[in-house]
Amino acid sequence: MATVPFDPHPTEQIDMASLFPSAEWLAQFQIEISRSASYAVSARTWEGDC
Amino acid sequence: MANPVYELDPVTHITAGAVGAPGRRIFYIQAERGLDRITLLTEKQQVEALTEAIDEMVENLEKEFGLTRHQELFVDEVSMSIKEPVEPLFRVGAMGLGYDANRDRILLVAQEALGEEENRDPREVRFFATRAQMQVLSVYARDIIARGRSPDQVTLQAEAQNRRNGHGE
Repeated sequence: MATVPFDPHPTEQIDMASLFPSAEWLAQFQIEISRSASYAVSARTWEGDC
Repeated sequence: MANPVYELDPVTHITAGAVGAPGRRIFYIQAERGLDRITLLTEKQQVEALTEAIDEMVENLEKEFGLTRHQELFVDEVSMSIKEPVEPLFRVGAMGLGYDANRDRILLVAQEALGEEENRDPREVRFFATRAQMQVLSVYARDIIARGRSPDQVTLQAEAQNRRNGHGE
């Protein structure tokens, strides 16, 4: 007998999707968290940004 | 290796808020399912973008599917506050909002922000919430964002919103 993988939501439909923030914002953010001293601090302490 | 995915489906509670003094506030998204709690570190702009995406989705659901938005929302300041200890799973980068029509749930996906040097797949969380839960999140988070602004900034934003809605100038 074949085993059917368990799928809790077999008819799930995800619609009307939106993505955010913008690609430009995300690209700038990646640069900031890589190069900013304050983000380096917050990465160690989870503090320092607001 | 595939990126690790954490899922709370459905959430019993979801919020977005801040901890700390104005000017040095730290923003978070926090969701719970029973005793499980996931906290994510965000930027204020990301929370703002989230509230806009929620409002837009609620409006579209009303227009396209006739799903009337909840008019009387009870926003409990205490329960919507970020619960401590705050132990973020990761710092958020990209987010997405979707609608599960079969279960009438809004899905929030948040992906980990990685630095330029980090060579691995980002972690991801998925929160499934009711429309009412997301509307309450949006109302509360907008209020929290506004509290960090000067009265002049709030007035300017209200005027800009009115112009977008076709009111005022």
